[in-house]
Amino acid sequence: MADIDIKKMKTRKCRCLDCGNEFKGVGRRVICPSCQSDNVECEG
Amino acid sequence: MRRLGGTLEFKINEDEILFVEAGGLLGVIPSRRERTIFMNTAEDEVALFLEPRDLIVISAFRADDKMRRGIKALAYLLLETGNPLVVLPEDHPGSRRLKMVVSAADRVRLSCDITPGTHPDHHLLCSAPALSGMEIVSVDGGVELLNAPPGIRVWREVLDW
Repeated sequence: MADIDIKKMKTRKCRCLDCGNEFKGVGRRVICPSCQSDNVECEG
Repeated sequence: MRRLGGTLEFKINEDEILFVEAGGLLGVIPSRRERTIFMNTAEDEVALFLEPRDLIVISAFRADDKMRRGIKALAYLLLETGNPLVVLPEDHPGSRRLKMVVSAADRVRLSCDITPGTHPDHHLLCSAPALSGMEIVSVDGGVELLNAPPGIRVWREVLDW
């Protein structure tokens, strides 16, 4: 129910430097969805 | 409500949703805080990180009491339970059954010229034709409606959850 084509979104691959969780994200203020840490590294 | 030229400005309190009706029905909720909404496809997951200034806009293609309650129910699922958005691939047979779509950004433009569930820019939201061309812009304490069509009906309701 989102009005988007998720494959065309400018997502960034991110990795949490605290828990190692890897995820794709969109937005300026990125936090780890698993442990809520902002110690996150993103590509691009 | 405050009118500034062709722009309408509305306050939205902390516990409120703003409804905008003209052919279709929109529900507008300021994020107010940082939050994460997950979008899921069959193969992938994307976390959408919202800021306090962002708006969550839910667009229903019909304007009646069922849709009004449906918008509030969808807002509850997204904002209170953390339920993810399910994203269908292009030309999925289920797309034609969608009654509501969601956009989240600090500025959302409505268009009836796109197919529901297919647009890559998450600030562009499919709407009923009467609302097409209107923009919803986040401002301190509420929203501005730019290019609002004549005969528009706008009201606030408490999110009593």
